[in-house]
Amino acid sequence: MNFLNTICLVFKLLAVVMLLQASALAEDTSLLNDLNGDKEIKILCFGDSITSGVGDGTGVGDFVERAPSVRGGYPARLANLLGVIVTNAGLNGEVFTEGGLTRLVNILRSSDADTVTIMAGTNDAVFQVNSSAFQRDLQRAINIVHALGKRVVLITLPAPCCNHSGLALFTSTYTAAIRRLAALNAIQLADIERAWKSTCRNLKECELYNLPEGLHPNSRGYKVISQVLAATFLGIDIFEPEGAELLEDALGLEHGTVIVESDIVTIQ
Amino acid sequence: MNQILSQFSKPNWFTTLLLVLAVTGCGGSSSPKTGLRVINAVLDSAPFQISNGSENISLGFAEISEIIPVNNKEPVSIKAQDGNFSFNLILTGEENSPLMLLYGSSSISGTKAKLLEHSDIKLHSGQAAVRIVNAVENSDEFKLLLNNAAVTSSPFGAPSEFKTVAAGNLKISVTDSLTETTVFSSEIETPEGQFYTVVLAGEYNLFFKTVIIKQPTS
Repeated sequence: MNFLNTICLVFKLLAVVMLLQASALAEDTSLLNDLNGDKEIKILCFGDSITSGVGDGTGVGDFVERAPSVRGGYPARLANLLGVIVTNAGLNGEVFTEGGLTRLVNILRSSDADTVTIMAGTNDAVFQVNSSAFQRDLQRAINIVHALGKRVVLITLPAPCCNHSGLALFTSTYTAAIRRLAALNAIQLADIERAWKSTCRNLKECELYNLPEGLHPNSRGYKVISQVLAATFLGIDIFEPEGAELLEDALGLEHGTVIVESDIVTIQ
Repeated sequence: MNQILSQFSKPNWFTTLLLVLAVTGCGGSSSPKTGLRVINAVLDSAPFQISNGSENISLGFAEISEIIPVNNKEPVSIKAQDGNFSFNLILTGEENSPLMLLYGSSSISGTKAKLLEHSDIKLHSGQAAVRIVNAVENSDEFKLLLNNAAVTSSPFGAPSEFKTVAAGNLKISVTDSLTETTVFSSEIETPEGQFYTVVLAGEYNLFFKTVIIKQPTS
């Protein structure tokens, strides 16, 4: 091997090492980034009445046939947890495939949010919208958010119960589509449906909902949604056995504050 | 908790130098015969996966790939990650780093692909050249304008001829055919001696985005 070849080999090895370092940096998937460089981290929460906060303010065990229309819900809690600016863009009764996508695009045109969360589909279930039509519009939404230089987080839909249990068949197909799109587009997923399964004491009459209404979360339910989202933003797997503790440590919360439960059974 | 601002670290000039030397200057394999750039203008599709046999590239909506090296007879595979579209392309090697436009909608018959050749027209001093490719369906519902002058023909998927323009800035706008109100407007810089392909992507009544590709200079 002559001198030139040796030099080239050294260059190649150095290049590989630096490429590996560069790719490790490029894979920074943290969602708490100031993508647009305005020195603030802003999150836009898009969705329907569950994003708007309907049903907030009632507690476990309250009898609620019609959820009260209160604004707050998970976006306000998320802002408190993460200390960032969160805009609540929830609209009661909105069907995502019938006007929801258009409203999202109109909001995005003037939004300076860095990341957009999308929790939509419950009202599409009321109108029994075909799952592939829902998936197609959600893919459009993902592409438009990305084309505008923002990040997107998809949120799965918890299965309604009790007075609204009939919607669960449709919301479960939408949740499958949401999971599929998150995987195909390599984007973050806040899996609320999974959190409901792991945390509800009785899934058929889940205490995280206003009951017997069974469609809008109560205060405890909104707390669960905000904690799952906060974990997603911080890159913490909330469903790991130590997930709740990790989130409490990351946010400086007292032990026992995080109520989302792990669904992973460890065998000692 | 205070806001958390992540820090990015950019590769420095030394890294760049090393990469250039490693890739080009150290007696590697023979250089590819040609190259391909791909533009994704399919609004409702999951990202496309492009493979030339040695590297895989994921290409989202309104993104343009870097030049993908292609060897003669080696097929380039392009497929949508949702499984709705897939095909293989073999380039003859005579093309000059052509552009492949993916447009239409996300289905086996809905997604279309078109090769766009570069221009070899001569430009005079102070001129640049621009062509428009309309990748938005329902093109009779809107008009495309360059510097407020209507592009004579802009059917879906068909590139216009290269049009010479004065170097500087160029305004691209879309107006509603009936009301003539402007529904989209964008500006690009067109320095002297450069050729640009401007792809209008999106969906009428929902979202427009221009994707601008500068023709490599030989």
